[in-house]
Order: sequence, then C-alpha cells, then structure tokens
Amino acid sequence: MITAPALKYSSIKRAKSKSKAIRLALIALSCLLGIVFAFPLYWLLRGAFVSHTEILARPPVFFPKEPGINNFRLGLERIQFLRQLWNSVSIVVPYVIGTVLTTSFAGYAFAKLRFPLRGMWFVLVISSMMLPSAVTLLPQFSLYTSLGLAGKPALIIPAFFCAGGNAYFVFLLRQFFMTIPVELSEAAKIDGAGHFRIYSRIMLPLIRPAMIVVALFSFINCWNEFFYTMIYLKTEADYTLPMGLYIVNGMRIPNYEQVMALALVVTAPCLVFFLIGNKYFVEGITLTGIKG
Amino acid sequence: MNPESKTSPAPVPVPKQAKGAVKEAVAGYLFAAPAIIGFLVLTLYPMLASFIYSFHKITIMSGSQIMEWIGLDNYIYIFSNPSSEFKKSITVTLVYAFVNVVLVIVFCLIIALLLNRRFIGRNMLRAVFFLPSVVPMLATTIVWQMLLQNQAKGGLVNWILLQLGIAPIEFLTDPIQIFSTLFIMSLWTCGGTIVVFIATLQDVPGELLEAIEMDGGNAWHKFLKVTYPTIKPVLFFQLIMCMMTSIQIYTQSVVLSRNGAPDRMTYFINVMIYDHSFVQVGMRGLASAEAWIVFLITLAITIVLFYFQGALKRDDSMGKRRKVRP
Repeated sequence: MITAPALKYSSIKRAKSKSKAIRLALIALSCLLGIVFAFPLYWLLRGAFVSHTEILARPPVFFPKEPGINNFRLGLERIQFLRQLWNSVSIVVPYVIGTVLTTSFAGYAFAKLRFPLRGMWFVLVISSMMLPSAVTLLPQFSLYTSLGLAGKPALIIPAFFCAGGNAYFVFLLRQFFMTIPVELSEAAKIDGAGHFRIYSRIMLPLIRPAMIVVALFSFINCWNEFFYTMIYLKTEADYTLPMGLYIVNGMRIPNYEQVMALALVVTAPCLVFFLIGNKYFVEGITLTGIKG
Repeated sequence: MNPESKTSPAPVPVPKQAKGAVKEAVAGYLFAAPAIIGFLVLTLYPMLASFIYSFHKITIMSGSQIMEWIGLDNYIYIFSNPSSEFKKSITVTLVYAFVNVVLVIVFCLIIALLLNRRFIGRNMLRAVFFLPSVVPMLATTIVWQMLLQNQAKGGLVNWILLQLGIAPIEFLTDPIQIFSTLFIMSLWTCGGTIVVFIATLQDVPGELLEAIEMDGGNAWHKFLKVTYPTIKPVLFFQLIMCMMTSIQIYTQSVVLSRNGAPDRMTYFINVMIYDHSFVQVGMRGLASAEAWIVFLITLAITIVLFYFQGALKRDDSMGKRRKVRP
C-alpha cells in the first residue's frame, strides 16, 4: 500500500523524462529537415557565384573561392535582359492591379450585397477553380486571336475578370468581408452612403491586410506563370524573364553557372516579396486553408 | 419629431425598403460583374466551345480556323488507335497525381505535427519550409536538375551516394527514377500546405487530447480520435487542390526535356495537349477531345472526393451538437 504510489510516481517521472527526450529528438528532426529544405536554395546561390571550373569540381565546392558577378554579366548577355525585364513588369503590374480590384469587388458583392442568384453565381465562379485549364484553352486562344489580343494582353486580361485561378482570391476576400459586422455598413447606409462609398470608405480599409495577401500571391502567381506564357508569347520581343531563362536552359549550354545566375535573377523578386510579406503570407494561407 | 417619424408613417418604409433592395441588387450585379462576365466568357463559353471543337477536324488556313464535322472520330481515335498518345499520357499523369497527392498530404501533415509544438525558432522553421513554394517552378526544376544529375556533370546527390558507397541513381534518365525527381520537387514546394496544416492544428481541442492521455491513449490514439476529425475538412480541401495542380503538371516536364523523355514517362496531359494544340498542325479538334476526357476524369475524381467530404460533414455537425447539449 505504501510502495504502490511511490512506484507509480517514479514511473510517471520516468515517462515524463522519456517524453521530454522524444520531444527534443522531434525538434532536432524538424531542424534537420529544415536544413535539408533550405539547402537547394543555398545550392542555387552557390551555383550563381562559383566559377566554371568550380561548378564541375570533384569534390564539390561548397563555398566559391572568388565570388563575383561575372556569371550574372555573362548570363544576362545571353538574354535581352532589359527588354525581358520590362515585359515581365508590364505584365505583372497590371495583372496585380486587376486582381486586387476585381476580386475585392466580387468578394464584397458575394459577402455583403443581396442580389438574385447570388449563391448560384458564387458557386459557379468558385467552381472554375476546379477546372483543368486545358478544357478552356483552345477556344480562349481563338477568342483572343480573333480580337487581336493573343500576346501580352491575353496574359493580363484574365486578372480583370477574376479568371485564371483568381477565383481563389474571390473566395478568400469573401471570407474576410463576412467577418466585418453588418452594423458598420448599416450605420453608413443610414447616413446616406451608397454601396460604392461603403465599399471604398469602410470595407477597404478594414480588409487591407487581406488585400496585401492577394496582391502578394497574385504577384507570385503571375511571375511564376509558365503554361500560358508558353502559349501566348510567341515572338522574342515579347519574352518575359522566365521565358529567357527557359530558352537559355533549353540550349543546354555547358556554362551551367550562368544558368544558375539567371535562375537566381528570376527567383530574386519572389524571395524579396516573400521577405517583405512573410507575415501576410502566413496569415493569408492560414485563412484560406481554414475556411476551405 | 423623433417619435413621430418612428411610429406614424408605417406604409412609407416598405416601398423605400423595396427601392433599397433593387438598388442593392443592381449594385451587387455591378460589383460581381467582372467575376460573372469572366465566368461566362472565359470559362463557360470556352468549355462548351471546346466540347463542340472535339467533334471537328480543325485546320488553320491563312490565319482562320476551318472546322470540319467528323462526329466521334476524335474520341474513337483516342481510344482505339494504337498511335494515339492519350493512354500513356493519362496513365503517367494519373499515377503521378495519385502518388503525389498521397505523398504531399502525408508529408505536410508530418511536418506540421512536428512543428506543432512551442520551441525557439519555430516561426523561422515554418518560414524555411514555406520559402521554396514561392520559387518559380522553372528555377526549382533547374536547381534540382543540378542536384540530381549524373555525378560527372556535377550532381551533388549522386556524388554523396558514391562517397557513401551506394550505387549512383540515374534520377533524370531512368524512366522510373524520373518520378522520384518529380516527387522530390513537389515535396520541396509544398510549403503552403504545411502552413495551412499548422494553422489548422491550432484548432485541435487541447482538453480532449489531455483526456485521451489520462485514459492511457498513445499519440496514435490522439491523432485518430481528436486531431484527424478536427482537420478533416481542411485536409480534404487541400487534397482536392493538390489533385488539381498535380494533374496539370507542365513546367517540370518541359524544363527537364522537351519530349517527355525518358520514354515519354513525363509526357503529361498538359504537355501533350499543348503539343497537339500549338506544335502539331491540324490536331486541335483532337486536343479538345483529349481535354474534355481529362475534364470528365477530374470531375469524377472531385465528385468522389466531395462525397467523402459530405460524409464527414455530417460527423462534424453531430460532434458540435454533442458539445452544445450539456
């Protein structure tokens, strides 16, 4: 009778120290996995700065001896850098603007305004998210071609119509708008504000964080878009930076360090935007994921 | 004045309200117009048009499309002509997609569970896992190509294997190993799903976990009885989205090789449809038929998945009711 509780106590203690050891082991494991995850990015960085002899050296060179910008200079000479940069920017900027505008309009309408068939339209718009893009490909292509828009415009226009994967953002913003209490807009309505005024003066300031999320994501999406870019950008004068990288990589040049330098150039904007908006990214996906 | 306006004009507010409702409906349609027009013009019309395309042979003559009705010929060709590329393409795509979805979901769940405890540097680790998912797939493929190459060409992984006395693996040229390459890249870029799972795990009720611990349940019991039911809806949503993106794999394939090498094992559906639409001549009708079959297959998969989700929704509501009652 006396020993039993003591025994139990010590076994609990042992179990506790055991679980503590497991905890530490699991944390160590996650850190290890984190290092494995980060390594390819380091390898990209390394590849962009090593010399041509170092990139093939055995054993591999982990730290370039004389890191320089030579690879970037030579790599950028292989593409029309300024032109392609301009092409990329001139697609991305209107794309992001279009996305932020129209998805917030639609999100507001589907969350806050009552209109006939609202539920049906919402489901239809959202369901386009689940559609394989191949099934709309050719008629879209002929449509744009017949309107003389098969080129850069074809890559920008979908953003102004919540198309091309932007239905996801409509969904996200609708969730945000729904969290805003009705009393706020009711009060504004009594004061005689119209619906656009309510949207622009009351709603927008409140969902600013969500708008930043949408802007960041749509930037990344547009910058990383490749399938449609391959379809619509047919002339070299229209090529974007990723296209330039794709062409150089496709030439299978022996100067792999230059390809890595170009890959780093193409990746850099995404990394910069990630570092700026890390907090918003995490918040944003958290919200979409949960409400899904 | 105040009490008067509140009580006496009973019939007046009704038409006013009706007017307000009409105004609201008009505003609603105006705000939703881009999305609705986008759906009609850029989704619904192209979908139906490509269905009609699929019964035609389409040739381009001096810039304009000439369509010739050939009935079911495209579909018959796809299923019965031995030179049709469709069967192999859909097989490798679906095999890739199914295995990939399982791998991604399980892997992300494990990482999320690992990170679901408080320790210093947790947020940094989360950022590390998320970071690769913003890297353009193009660059991702180029980096992994560099890492997994034959060691003579500078492949690091094979060099390490060699140092460890393990036979090098032909990640890029072996028709089976090429899938390992694709899965590795896919796992490397699944950070978004990890972050979603971590966030969802915050909703798991801690009291219930403790209760199971009291009853002598182990970690597996906890996961099965509490964690899994809580995260199930999000899990299914992520599963469906992952399935959709997996089926549409394109960039990895064309960066690794232009023709689906090795042995057409990476000649995925989107690669094939792109070729038939824009590279080969006179196959646009065929491409449309192929796209429609893919659409029907994904629709079937989505319906099956939604069916499972529907089954779990009933569970959820029951759980909630039980909670409310006491």
